[in-house]
Amino acid sequence: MSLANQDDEDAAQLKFPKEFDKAEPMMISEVLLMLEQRRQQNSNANGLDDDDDEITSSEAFNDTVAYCERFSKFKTKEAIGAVRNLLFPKDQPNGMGSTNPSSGLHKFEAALLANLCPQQAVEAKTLIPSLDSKLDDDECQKIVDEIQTYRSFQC
Amino acid sequence: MSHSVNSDVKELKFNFNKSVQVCKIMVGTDMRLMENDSIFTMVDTNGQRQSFLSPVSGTVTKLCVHESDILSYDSIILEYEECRHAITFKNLCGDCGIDLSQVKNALSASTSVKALASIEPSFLDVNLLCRRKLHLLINLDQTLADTTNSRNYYPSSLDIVAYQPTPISKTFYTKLRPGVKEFLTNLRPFYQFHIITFGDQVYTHNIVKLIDPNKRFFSDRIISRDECFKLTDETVNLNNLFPCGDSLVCIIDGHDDIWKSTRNLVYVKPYMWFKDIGDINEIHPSSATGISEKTHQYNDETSKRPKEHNSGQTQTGSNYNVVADTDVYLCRLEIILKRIHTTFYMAYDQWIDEKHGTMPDLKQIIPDIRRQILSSVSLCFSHIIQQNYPMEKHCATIMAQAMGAKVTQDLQFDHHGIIQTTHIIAGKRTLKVYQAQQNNIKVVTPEWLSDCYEQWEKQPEENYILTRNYKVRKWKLFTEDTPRVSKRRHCDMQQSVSAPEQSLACQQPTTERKHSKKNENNLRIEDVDDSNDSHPGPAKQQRTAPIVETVDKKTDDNDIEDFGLEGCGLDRDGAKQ
Amino acid sequence: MFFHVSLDHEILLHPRYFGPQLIKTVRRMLFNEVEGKCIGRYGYVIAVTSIDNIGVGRIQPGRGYVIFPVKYHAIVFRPFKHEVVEAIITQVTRMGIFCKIGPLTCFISRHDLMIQPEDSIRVKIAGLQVDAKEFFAVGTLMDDYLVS
Repeated sequence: MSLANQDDEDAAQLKFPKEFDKAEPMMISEVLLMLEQRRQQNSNANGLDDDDDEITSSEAFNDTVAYCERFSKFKTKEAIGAVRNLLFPKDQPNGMGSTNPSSGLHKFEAALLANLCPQQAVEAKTLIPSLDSKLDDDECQKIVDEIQTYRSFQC
Repeated sequence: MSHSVNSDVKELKFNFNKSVQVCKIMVGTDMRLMENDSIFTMVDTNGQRQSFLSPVSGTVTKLCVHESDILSYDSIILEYEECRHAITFKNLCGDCGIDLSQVKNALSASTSVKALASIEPSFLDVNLLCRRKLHLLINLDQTLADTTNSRNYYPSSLDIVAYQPTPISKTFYTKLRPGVKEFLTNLRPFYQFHIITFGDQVYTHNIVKLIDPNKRFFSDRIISRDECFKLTDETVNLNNLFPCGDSLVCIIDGHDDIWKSTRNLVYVKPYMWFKDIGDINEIHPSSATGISEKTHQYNDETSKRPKEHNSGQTQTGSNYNVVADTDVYLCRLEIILKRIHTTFYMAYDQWIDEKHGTMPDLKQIIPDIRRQILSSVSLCFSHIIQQNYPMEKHCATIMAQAMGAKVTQDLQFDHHGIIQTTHIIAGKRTLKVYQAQQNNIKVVTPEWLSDCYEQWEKQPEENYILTRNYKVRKWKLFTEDTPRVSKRRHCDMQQSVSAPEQSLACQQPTTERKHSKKNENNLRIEDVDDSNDSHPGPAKQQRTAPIVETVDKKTDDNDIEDFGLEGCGLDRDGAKQ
Repeated sequence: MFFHVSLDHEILLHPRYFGPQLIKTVRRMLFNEVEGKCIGRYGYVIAVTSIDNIGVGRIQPGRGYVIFPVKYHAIVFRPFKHEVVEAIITQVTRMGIFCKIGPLTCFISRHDLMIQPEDSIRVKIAGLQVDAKEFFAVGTLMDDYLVS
C-alpha cells in the first residue's frame, strides 16, 4: 500500500489526514510513562496466569521504549503535568482540530515544542515552520523559555 | 513558472499575480530544497504575511532575491538544479523525499523521471555497494576442500586433517585445496563470502573452522541446505537466501546440477584429492563406485599436456605414498572472480553516471564474460554426441555456446566455399576429422572444451591433439558429472559410501528416472529451449555408430560407467532407440 | 509524533473459547493482533491503553466462529512528511546514514557530518512510504538546528 494522495499531509503546514482529526498528540515523556506502566502490567500478568500464552512485547514496543527513554525531556510526573497544563489547557476541546485559545498553538505544534525543547525562538521556528506566522519572536521565546524551566527544575 | 536555462539548471520564478515584499529568506545557495519548503516569507500590499513555498525540489545554485526586495509576477527567485533522484531508499528519493513510484504513475510520459524508480539497491545491498563488494556464495565440498571418511584414503599428503565431528561418528579426513587462505584473503576486498553447504551443520562447522579459525572470512554467514532448497524440485531457491534480489550474487560450485539455470554460477573445476570417494555430500552412489576410473588421466601418454591441472594424481594405487599437490586452480579462479568484480563495477559506475536503464546484474554479466571465451570459435562435434541425441541439448553444445562459440552440425562453408568452422571437437578419428584436417581446421579432444570452460580462457590447442589411442569414454563429463540427488542426510550418505555395491543395487530403479529427467538440466547455463521437439542429426550413423555400440553394451553389462553416461546427457532410452 | 487515538478491530474467535474467560481471551487476542502492527494510515500501534467496548458477537454462518467488534484506545506512532523528529543513528554508510525513530527506519542520503551509530540527530522527514505493513522514511539534516 502506498500513501496515496500524500499531498493532503504536510506537517509543516499542519495538514493531516482526516483520520487524525480526533487524535490527541502525546509528548514523548507521556508515552514513556504509559509504556512503562504497561510493561509493568505485562510482567505481572505473565507472572500470574500460567495457563494463557503470554502477551509478549512487540519489536515496535521495545524500539519505542528505547526511543522514548532516550528522548524523553521531562522526567517527573509533576514536570510532565505542568508542561501539559501549559501547552494543552484543560478547557481545550479534544482532537487536533482545536487550537489553544491563549497562545493559538495547534496541538501538534505544542507536542513538538515539548518533544524537541528548542532553546531559541528562531530555532523553534525553523523546526516548526508553522509557528512563524502565529507568534512573533518575543511570544515564541516566552513559551520556549517556560518549557525550559520545567525541564531544568526536575534535576 | 520554470523553464530550462541549460540541461540541468532551471529558474524558479515568482508566480503570484500581485506584488509582495520579501521579509525573511529561509534558503541559501547549495542548499537542498524540497517541495513545499518555505523559501521566504513575504508581506503583500494588504499587510498580509505568508510563506512562499517551493513548488519544486532540487539544489539551489543561485539565489536571486534579497530581503526587502519587491517581487512581482515573473520575477526570478532563484536558480536550481533539479533533483536527480540518485539515491533511493524503498522507492523514496534520498535527496528530495519524493515517492518515485507515485511520480512514475503520475508522469509516465515525462522523460525526466523514466527508469528512475528502478534504482533501488535494497537496504542491505546499499552497504555492499558502498564498500564495492559483491556476494560470493561458496559450496565448500570439492571447491575449497575435499573430505573422505575412509580410513584407507589415498593418496596421502602432509596437510590432511583428521577429526571426529561428534564423538560417535566416524573420523573424517579433509584436505584443503592449495592456496585457500590466499584465495580468500585476496578476494576479501571484493567479495562478501557466504558458505552454502549440503552437509550437516556439525560437519560444515568443522571444515569452516579449518579454513577460517578466526571467523575472519565467513563470520556466521553459513547457509545450510535446509534453508535453501525448494522442497518441490530440489533446486536452490536463491530468493529465500537473498530476498533483496540476487543481482549481486556470484556462486562458485563444482557441481552445477542443483543450480538449475542459475545464471550467476561460476562452475569450478572440482577438487578431488581423495580417490576412494566422490563428494562426501554427494548422494549419488556412482560417485563412490566409479572411482577406479577417476584418474584424470584422460590424456594418453603421447600428449604433451602439462600435468599441472592434474592435482598430481598420477600415482594411483600407491596408497600411503605422500603425493605433492600441484593443483593451482584457485589462482585462476581468483583472476576470474576479480574480473567479474571489475566488470560489474565498471558497469555500475557507468550506470550511476548515466542514470539510464537498470542496475547491472551478475546474472547478465557472468554469462556475458563467459561468452567472450570462445567468441571467435565456430565448432562442430564428431563422435561426441550420440546419433539420436538432439545436439542442442547435449552438455557439450550447451557448454560451447555458453562460451560464445558457434556450434554447427557439420562443417560450415560460406557462399564462396570458404570454410567457416574453426574447430572440430572429436572423440575419434572420423571422416569428418579427416575432412577437417584437409581444410586445416584444428582438431581437439573434448578436454579442450571442458578445460576452456573451467579456466575461462581459450586453451592452446596443441595440448589437446587427438591421437589414435584417445578414449572419449574417459572424458570427465562421461564419468564424473553425475547428477546430485539432494536432500539426503549425511548419515545416509555415509552408508551409501561405505557400501557402494549394495546401495547401487537397491537404488538404481528409483534414481534412474530422476536422472534422465535431470540430465537436461545438467550443465545448463543459459535458458535453453525446453521443448521436446528433438532433432536427430542427419545421417551420421556410420561415424557415430561406435558410441551407440558402447552404450548398448554398457546397458546390458550394467557397468559402473553407465551412470556417468547418464550424467552426461546420454540417457539410456536414447541409447536403445 | 505519538498520538492517543480511538480505533476499531474485529476479533475472530473459535467456539472453544466461549466460556467464563471469554473477555480475557478477546482482550489477549486484541493485544496480540494489533500491538506492534502498522495499520494503514494510522501508523504503528505501539500499545493498547484501554478497551472501551466489546460489541455483540456475530456468529459466522456455517462456521461457528464469532466475530467481536472491539473499540479501543491505543498509543500510535505516525510520522508525517516535513515533521522534525529526533532519531538514533543505527548505521553510517558511504551513501548515507540509517536511523531509527522508534519503530521507524529512516534513511538520510549523503552527509558530511562526523557522526556514528548511537548518536542522536534531528531529522526532517522528507518522504514516507508504506511497504508490507511497515513505514519507511527518508530524511534530511540540512537545516541549521537539526543536530542536537
